[in-house]
Parts: sequence; structure tokens; C-alpha cells
Amino acid sequence: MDRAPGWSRRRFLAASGAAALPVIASACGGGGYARPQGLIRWWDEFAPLHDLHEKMWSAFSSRHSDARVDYTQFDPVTLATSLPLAIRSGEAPDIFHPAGITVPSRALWQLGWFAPLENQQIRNDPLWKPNLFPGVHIFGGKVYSLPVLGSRWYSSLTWFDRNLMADAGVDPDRGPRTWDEMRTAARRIKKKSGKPAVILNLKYTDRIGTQVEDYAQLAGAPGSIDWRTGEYAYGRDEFGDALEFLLSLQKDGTLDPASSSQDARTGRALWAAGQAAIFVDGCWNAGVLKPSFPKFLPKVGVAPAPTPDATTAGHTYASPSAGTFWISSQSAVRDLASTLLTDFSTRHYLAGVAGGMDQPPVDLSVVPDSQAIPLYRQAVEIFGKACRIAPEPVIANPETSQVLSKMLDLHPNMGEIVQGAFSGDISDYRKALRDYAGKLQSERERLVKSVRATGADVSDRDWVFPDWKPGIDYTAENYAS
Amino acid sequence: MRAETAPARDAFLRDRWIYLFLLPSVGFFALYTVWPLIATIRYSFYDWSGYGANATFIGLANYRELLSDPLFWNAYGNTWLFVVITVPTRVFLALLLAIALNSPRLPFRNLLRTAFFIPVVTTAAIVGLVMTLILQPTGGPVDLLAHKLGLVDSPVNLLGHSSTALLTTMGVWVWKWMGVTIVYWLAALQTIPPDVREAARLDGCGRIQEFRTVTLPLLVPFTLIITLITILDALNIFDLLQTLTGGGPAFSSEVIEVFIYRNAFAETIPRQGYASAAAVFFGLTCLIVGVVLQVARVIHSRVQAS
Repeated sequence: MDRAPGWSRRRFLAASGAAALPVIASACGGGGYARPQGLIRWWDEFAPLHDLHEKMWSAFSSRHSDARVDYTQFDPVTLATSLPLAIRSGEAPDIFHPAGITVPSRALWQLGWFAPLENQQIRNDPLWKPNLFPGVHIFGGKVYSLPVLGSRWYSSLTWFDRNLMADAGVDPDRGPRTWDEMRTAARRIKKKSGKPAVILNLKYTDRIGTQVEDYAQLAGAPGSIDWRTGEYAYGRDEFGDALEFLLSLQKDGTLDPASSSQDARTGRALWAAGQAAIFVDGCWNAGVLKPSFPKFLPKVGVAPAPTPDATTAGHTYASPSAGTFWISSQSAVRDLASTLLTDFSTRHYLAGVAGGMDQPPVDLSVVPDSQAIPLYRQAVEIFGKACRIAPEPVIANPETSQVLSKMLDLHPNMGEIVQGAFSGDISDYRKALRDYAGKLQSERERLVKSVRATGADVSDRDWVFPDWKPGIDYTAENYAS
Repeated sequence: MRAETAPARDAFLRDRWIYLFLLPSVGFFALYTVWPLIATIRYSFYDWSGYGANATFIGLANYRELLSDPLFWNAYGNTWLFVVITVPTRVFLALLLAIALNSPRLPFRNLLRTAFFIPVVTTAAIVGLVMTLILQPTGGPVDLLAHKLGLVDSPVNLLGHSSTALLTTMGVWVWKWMGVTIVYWLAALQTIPPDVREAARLDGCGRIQEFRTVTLPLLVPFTLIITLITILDALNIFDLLQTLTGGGPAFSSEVIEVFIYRNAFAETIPRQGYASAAAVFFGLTCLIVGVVLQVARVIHSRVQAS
């Protein structure tokens, strides 16, 4: 049988495939996308700062005609998984915030992640000098990043409905300040309204573990580590007492039973809808309430996390915060990126960060000059009185980062013990906390021995700071002495 | 020899366009399925955080650690518990519903078929989020209904108790995916010749006897395939479970996928090598299950043939 002349379906498909192959092959090749000159790729998770950053990027582009920022916003979990992948693939963004990556920044520097800032004179700037530390921001004598976001904050402020608090007989301008005041207020609110009084975020263990740690520190614990001895402090009474206080809310029936299956976002929405009177959260709650729940905002009050009694004036302790924005060592526009980051090192920018009402800036003194609402300013004022800077072993001895970068998570950890106590799976939580502290201690000792065997100069004494005093910042002068 | 290769070469040349058009699919399969599989097996022999290119070869150390990790065996046990309870439930319930939906006398048959299939096409993560609100112990519809019916006198926190979290997740999963299994059964029921069933009825068979002696034996081959598909589905529950419980409370609902994810990405120091070892170990287990089912199918075919 003779073939019909002209194009058959088979011939057409064959020709299309042959035509498509070179196109696909060229797209698959490296350098298939030519990168425009002056393009700066920026990855972070700071949704509240996006508007501020857009203005700054536009201003930068108007001064540098070939410069443009290509911004991608992630959620912290996705950023923590995407960033290492991008770096391994040679596709790192030019500027990034390593959200969710808790490995010490020195360890990431040793892996070659970062490039130093061009403007090394920044270390003498009075705004940054007290906040830059070797081993955290300075490596090999060069400044790599600035800690725009500070560590003077905690995530356990008591946010409350002022009307319900007033009905419970508590001064709505002051809020409950002690464990008894909070428990009594919660009981009265429950009796009057018939609804649970308190919402906690028990679903995600990291957050609830941090909140119990905050309560314990404000009750007098020195932090997760007692810097006077170098030992882990989770077994101290303050931790067990703090957890016992929160469990008492469950026992009283004043804790929303849905707390165990809620994250912060859902819990906040239910609280704002009137499901409960008290919500435990960080200062960023103000920043979320303003756009999302504007009608509820005027009814809201904020108080410090409660303490065991009125005489306890505890503090929370956190190490100096790590750098916020880093330049990738793979960046082809390092100079331009570094110049851009200079705009992010001014007091004016820090005031803008405060106006974003997320994590507070490193210098809390800019907050009164910012666009932040009064509730946020009140929260930051609380932090100024309560939050202190703790010692950081990596600053005293950078080799300790080798130990910290190898420390595996031990289970159940602080948050998992809290969750287990609330679900009834862990009845003897004080023992669980003591065991956890003991396991951490043993793990660190094992790693110190292992790292020493490789020739590094580390010891258990690197976690001991005999000149540390409760309630006082540990500063550069302490390290120097 | 030349005479033997010539027809093979001719066949290849004749079918060359088929191979060419298959090439992209095979390429993508190799790139996104085979290569990750080989890479995972390789990573399982390394201690690697994923942060840098350097990884330390540690041989079988990850597997030795797995064998003594109580959280791994907890997740492993939860995974198989999930399969053992949900697969028969979903397969059997879907069969009953398919039989009902196959009846031409059922009113609103098409509407009901659509209603059962809607959860299937809804994103699992969204279902998980919505279900946390529906199952809320204070004010959630399930809690309100339970109170109204007098079943409970205090808030019911199904997702917040270690004794009920996994079972609740099973219930949500079965509800979500029931529709697709109903479709499989409906297709299987269409293959049963109506005259065979008519002949059974003419012989005096009741409905149940007809189902047991005529319909069910003819459905056996489909049962094996549908069960295998459902088992594979039951091993892919990460998105639903992560949004419903996150593996909690106290790891009571953690299955192997959540264990792998936690170790690979969520730990303070990620352990890609250890997570890979868990994945390989579990994959080998699934392979054994698959082989057993395949052997069962072959044996059944041979018995049928003989």
C-alpha cells in the first residue's frame, strides 16, 4: 500500500519532537538564564518588615541605577530547608537571613557560607560597637553581619482582654503580675463567662518550651545553663515550679483544652474572637493584632510574664543575637550587596524595624521614636527592665562552636516534657527535667572529649563564667577581663 | 547471528519514535525518583547535617543507632498500626458504600458519589487545618454534638490526648480518601456480568447469599489490587498528620514520615544521614510487604487457573 503524500500525524509529531529537543537541551544547560547585572537576590521571612524594606530597596535603586532587589519571602521552616540546598547547588541568594538554622554562625562561616562586609569601619560605629562580638559577627578579624534584631525579648508576655480582666477585679492597666493573681483572675473569668480563661500554644514544642523557660527564669533560674557552674539548669526547682503553675490552670479548668492542638496563629484568632481572656505570646502579637484584628486591639492590655510572687524580680537571659542579614560567599555582586546593607545599619532603619512590630531591634532606645503602637512600646519597656544579655561560650572560645554544632537534640526535650505533662504522658515532670539536664550535661562532656581529641582547645570550663552575676548584662568588658 | 540481530535492529528502527517520545518521561523518572533513591541509600552511610558538602562516612552506624532508638520504633509501630487499622476499614467500608451507590434504585446516586469524592480532591493540609477546628474541644462541632447527645460531660480533646490522637487521625484519613476507593470498587462492580447475578437470583439466592457466593469471589482479584493501592496510600500521610497533630502529643501520633522529616529538617542539628537510614530501612520493609502481596496475587491466579 503506498503512503499518502504530504504530512501524516506521525510525521508531524516526529518533526515537532525534533524541533523541541534543541530548545529543551539549551534550557537544561548551565547558564541558561542570564542574570541581569546589578540584580541582588534577597531571601528572608520578615513579612512585617516587607513594606519598610521595599521603600529602602527603591531608594537604593534610585541611587544606583543598575541595582535591583529580587525579593523572595519564605516561612522560617521552608527557608531553613531551602537555604542549605541553594548553597550546596551554587544558587545561593546574595543576601539572606538564615532563619531556623540554629547551628552557630561560626560553624556556617567555617563551611564558607558568608562574605565579609565591605565597610569594616562599622565596628567603630557607637551604635554597633557594643553589639558586635568575635565568633558571632566577627570572624578572622572581619565583620560579616550586624545583629539588627536583638535578643532582649521573651515570648511569654501576658496579653489580655482589659474588660474581662476588670470584671475579674484585676487592674486592666496593670494586669496579673504573679502566679496567684493570674490563677485567681482566670478562675473569676471562667466563673463569670463560663469560658476558659487562658490559651497557650502547646502544639509546637519549641514555643511552649521557651515559654516555660521564660517563666522559670523570671522565677529566679539563671537560664538554661547556670553560668556560675556551667551546668544545665533544667533540673532546678524553678523549672518544675513554672510547669506546675501552668498545669494548675489546666487543673482549675481555666486553660482552653484546645491549647494542645493549636499553634500561635489559631490561638490568637480564637482569643481575639472572645474564646478566652488571656493569651501568652511575644511582643509581635501587637504587630499582628493591628492589621488582623483592629476592632479587638483597643480592648487589649499587656503585662509582663507573671512571677511566683511580688517580691521575685527575676530576669530572662539570652546570648547576644546573631547577625540578621548575611552576604553569601557565592554572590557575584558582593560590593553592591554590601553597599545596600549599609542602609540597613542606621538608627533610622532600626526605628523602622521597631515600627514593624516584630522582634525588637538590638537597640531598644529607638522604639520611642518609632511608629510602633503604644502596646508594642509597653512590651519593649517590659523587656528593657527584665531582659539581660547572657554569656556566650563561642565568644570566649570560638572552638566551642565545634561542640555546639555537633550537639544533637535529646528527647524528650524541654518542650516535649511540657507537652507530655499537659497530655498526662509524663506524670513526674520534675524527674523528666532533671533527667534532661543530666543527659545534656553528659552529651556535652562527651562532645568536648571528642572535639579535644581532634586537637581543638576546648574544655568544660569554657561554659563557666565565674564573673557572671544575675540581673546584669555580660558585656565585651567581661570577656576582655 | 546476523540474521537474529537484523530483526531486532529493524524493530528498534521501526519503533525509534516511540523510544524518543518516552525518553523525557524516563529521564524525569530517573532524575526525580531513581536518583533520589540511590542518593538516599548513599547518604544513609554518612553522618551529614546537610549544611555543607562534607559528610563523614560512618558505615552502618546510622542503622545500628536506629535499632536502639525507641522513637524510631515508636514511629515504625505507629505507621504499621495506621496501615493495619485504616486499610481494612477503608477497603471494606468503601465496598459497602460502592455496592449501595451502584444500585440504580438509590435516589440522588450521582450527588452522593460526588459528595464522597469531594474530600479526595481537597488538599490534605487544608483538611488537616480545618479538622483541627472541627475537632476543637471547646465550641467545635464534634464536641458540641457529643455534649448534646449526652455522650460526654467535659470537653473532648481528641487530638490533644496521646490515646486518641492517632485514632482520630486515622478517622480523618479514612474519611478523606474513601471516595477514591469507592471509585475503584464501582469500576470493579461494573465488571461483574449482570446475567451471572440474575442467574443466581433465579436460582433462589437472597441478596446476602448472592453477594457472598457470586459477587465477592469475582471481586477477589480487585481486592488484592485495591488493598495494595490503599496500603501505599496509607504510607503517605505526612501532610495530613503534620497539620493535624505534628506527631504529638508526646510522639503518640508520630509515624515514620514525620520521624524522617523531624530528623532531616526540624532538629537543631539536622541529620540527613540518619533520616536517610530510617527511610531506607522502612523502604525495605515496604518492599517485603509488596513482594508478599504480589506472591499472594500470583498464587491466587494459579489457584484460579487450576
